[in-house]
Amino acid sequence: MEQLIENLKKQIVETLKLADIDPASIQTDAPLIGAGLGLDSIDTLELLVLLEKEYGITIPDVNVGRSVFASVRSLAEFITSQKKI
Amino acid sequence: MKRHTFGICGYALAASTQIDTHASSILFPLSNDIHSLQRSQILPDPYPAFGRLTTSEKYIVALASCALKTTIDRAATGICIGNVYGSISSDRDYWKTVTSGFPSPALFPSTLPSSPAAETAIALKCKGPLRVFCGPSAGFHAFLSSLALLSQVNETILLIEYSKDPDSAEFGWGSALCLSNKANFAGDFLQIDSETEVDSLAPGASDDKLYLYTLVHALKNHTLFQKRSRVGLKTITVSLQYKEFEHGTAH
Amino acid sequence: MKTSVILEQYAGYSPLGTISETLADLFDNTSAIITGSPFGAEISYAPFDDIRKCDPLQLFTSITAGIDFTDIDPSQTICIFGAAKGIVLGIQNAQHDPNWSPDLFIQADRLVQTLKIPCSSLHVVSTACASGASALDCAVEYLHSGFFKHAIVFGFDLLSAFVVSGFTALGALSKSTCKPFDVLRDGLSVGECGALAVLSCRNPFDGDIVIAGCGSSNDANHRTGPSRTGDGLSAAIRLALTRAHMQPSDVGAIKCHGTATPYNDAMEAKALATIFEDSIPPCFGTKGALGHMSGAGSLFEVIIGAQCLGRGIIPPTVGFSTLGVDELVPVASHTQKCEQSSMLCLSAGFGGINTACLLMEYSR
Repeated sequence: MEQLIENLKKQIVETLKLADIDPASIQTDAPLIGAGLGLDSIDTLELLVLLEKEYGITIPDVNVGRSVFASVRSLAEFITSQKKI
Repeated sequence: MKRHTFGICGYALAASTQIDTHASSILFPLSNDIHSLQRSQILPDPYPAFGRLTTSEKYIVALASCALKTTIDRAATGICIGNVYGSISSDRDYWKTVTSGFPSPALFPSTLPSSPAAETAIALKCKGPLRVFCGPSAGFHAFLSSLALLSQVNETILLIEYSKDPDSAEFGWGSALCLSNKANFAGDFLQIDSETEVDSLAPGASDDKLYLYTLVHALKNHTLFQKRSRVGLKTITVSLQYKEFEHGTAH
Repeated sequence: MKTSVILEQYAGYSPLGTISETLADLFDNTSAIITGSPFGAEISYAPFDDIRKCDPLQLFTSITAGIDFTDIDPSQTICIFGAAKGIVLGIQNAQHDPNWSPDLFIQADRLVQTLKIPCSSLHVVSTACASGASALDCAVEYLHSGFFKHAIVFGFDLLSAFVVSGFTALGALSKSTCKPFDVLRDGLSVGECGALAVLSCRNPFDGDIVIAGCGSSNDANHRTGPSRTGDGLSAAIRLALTRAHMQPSDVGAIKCHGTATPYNDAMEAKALATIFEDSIPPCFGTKGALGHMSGAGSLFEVIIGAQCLGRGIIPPTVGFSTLGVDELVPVASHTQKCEQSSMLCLSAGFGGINTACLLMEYSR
């Protein structure tokens, strides 16, 4: 899990090409969208593409998406749960 | 003859390997890749979105940021850009994501030729009129359009010319000029004389490529700039006037 | 008498056909929007009924056939092309001629040269979905500045896999006919069009359609989403009113941008309430009938506005039934009379661009 969280932080910074942000500085439990990293709706869509491309996971429902992107931890937990199925 | 004068509030110049600003002559070494340019070198506040800007967006935001001084009322400032090659390189980058099966929602908005202007407006909070021209003489067209706009509305315009051929290995060039018709400027100004008398200049005969770059280059070195161009029914003469040469003729 | 910028002649082609065919269908509450999967995912879209029109040369051969260029001296004329993407690179769509360059200027230049459009200068303006209206704004300024006597403003934006894939990736498309200002609106339907307008600067006569004032602004807010307050669009409207020396109460009707995305229509309603307070004039939109015809569409829609102004009536807003914005915007659901001889035409686009164009029917 910790390894996945670390990877995700790197992938988020890389995929969204975030400037001024060190992956290690992203708080695992802090909100991912909006405040903090300053991510917007397009970044969310781009993260959906990342999930599909790298983890083979699709989120068809936007409302599910919202809870998944609540934090890096929730994202990691979601990926883990999807893999078990 | 009709004479207009516009105050010059700031400028920036970039070519091949560096961006050169007016006030402090800071040089930003860009090596051969503008992607090495850090946000902190050109924008004072953290701007996470800076990293995802395309090359042309970064370049234009950088130029604009250098030319727009903090004393300007940004909310009333318009942006007028001549983006010579438009969005062709972004189109290719986006289309690659389409053919890979994962169209990028973040890249698609960059395929609009106006995206660098939009990013500049967002980064610098400029809420005035926005206009983008494309084509080989786009810089000159943006310049003309700014003059037409400034002669009618009280405004400050951030005027930018950017050219980077996506098919050429050579690096691009760009220039930015902040022009204002508000009375309270001080310093160098641009004098534009227009005459309806049609003279020997054939329409479009003037050399309007690199127009803004040449103008800003002269401004930077305080050298003479005077150019006559035929625009439809008029012949316009644009000349740079420096503060120390001012003898109370205008302003 | 003061010289004014007059909308002398115009022509266009939309998914509903020529201007007069389009107008007849608009008043009949007819939509050209269909659903299907032309490029993969299922979408709603409005294609040309005639596939030959997808070649800009054929499109503009038919569009310019009704335009009289005899009085137009090329040396006094500027041509301004306004488009968001025109024809886009990498299109895998066989109906598009691969010989067209992806460069907007080269596309426009080829058309002007081939069709021998009389002009001494060609400008290309591209400001996303407001491109055509921006080109018009720019032309009006040139005419007022005395640089030119005539302006020919034109544009085309064609449906493509390129544009559709992008809007799909952004989740902006509706799966059914779009519903501007409606409570059930859930995204846009894409469309395509070609449009052309000839402007002159001269003394107006009774019945002339005058471009009384144009304004543009930027939200400086987000690369795709509109401002949540509508302050950008209201600034553009204010500038157009100022330049036209008119008051909000002088506006007879409004041709809205009305994309039918939740945020755009909410933003537009807020801007209208800011300017007109509780007396917003009758409003209509065309995107439920024609789809979102992109940059050139903003010019086509101004032409529709001019036609309605000339007839003194506005058409129903196809796709609209129950108001779904917070402000009391009087969206027309049936043909309505336009009480005053002026029409405000609004457009907005990605990157936060807003334009407002105020048309007036001249009478002494």
